Amino acid sequence: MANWAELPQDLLTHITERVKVIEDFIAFRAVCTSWRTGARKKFFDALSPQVPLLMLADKDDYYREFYSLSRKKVSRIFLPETRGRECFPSKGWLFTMSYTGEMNLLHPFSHINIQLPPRKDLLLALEGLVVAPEEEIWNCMAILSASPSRTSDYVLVVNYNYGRVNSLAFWRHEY
Amino acid sequence: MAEASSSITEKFFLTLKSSDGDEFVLEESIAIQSITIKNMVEDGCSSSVIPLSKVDTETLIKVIEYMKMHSSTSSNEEEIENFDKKFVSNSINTILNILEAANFLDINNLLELCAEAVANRIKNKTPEAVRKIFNITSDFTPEEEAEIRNETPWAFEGNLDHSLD
Repeated sequence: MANWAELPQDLLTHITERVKVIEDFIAFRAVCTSWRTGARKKFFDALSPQVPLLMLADKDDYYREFYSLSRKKVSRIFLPETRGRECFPSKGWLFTMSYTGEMNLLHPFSHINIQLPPRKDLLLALEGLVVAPEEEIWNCMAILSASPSRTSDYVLVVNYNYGRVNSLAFWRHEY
Repeated sequence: MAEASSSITEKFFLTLKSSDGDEFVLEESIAIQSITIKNMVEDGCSSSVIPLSKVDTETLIKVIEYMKMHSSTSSNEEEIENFDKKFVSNSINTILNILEAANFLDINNLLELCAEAVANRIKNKTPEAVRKIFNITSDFTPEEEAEIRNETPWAFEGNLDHSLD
């Protein structure tokens, strides 16, 4: 019987291109070193639609729970960066905001962290309009124009409320 | 074009020889679905037997079956579809042998069909199940194994299929 661990790399590439579900791709890469090398991340079709993981509420520890719709199970993931922070998802990233007003974009699996301007900067545009304290800011949602994993040419839009004013903030990553 | 193809109406035959030494006579028009064979014919190497040192008899029979079905003017789309469905239900070992042969013979449709079949076999499986199906032993160190799991623990948990089909 042939040794399929030694399947030529170009054939592993052909197979990788046809694996569409991210969990299957991860399992495929976890078989042996040769397959891991052949199933390079760039050959996985990252644009193929995936069933999302649902992030559950903060339990005030260093973990966050995610519910996998495809596997119907909750998984705990070590994610200390999100402790005590509000998280808003977009394109597989999390826009997070601490109680002290620090904001960032966080990738929950690579733990890559993109620092954003502090929350008080959101007040600049509203100067003279409202006079409530900075803590009065609360936001409804954040959305990315593209995934920062794929390009540095993306815009983050945050919809937030300050006092009774509903505003949109745009942030563009510096090239 | 090779000299042998000077007449359009006449049928030409090629002899393919497997790595086990078995010979198969096949119509040239069918065999040239393989770009490797087509190039050999165009280079004029087809007058004698074409040795396919990388393809064993069992695999070559399957490949010829596939090429006959996919070139025959009498088979309609539905027949081809049914044939492909049945074809990919071959054992995983057979599929992988055919995949390698399709790569060597440069038969793109067959390569795609087999690569797709392999990708389908690993759907919703644990790495352990995939290893058993493909008869592969993990060569990761325990540290590497732990690291892979820690990267994406959610991918290794849940209602996974541990079966080998």
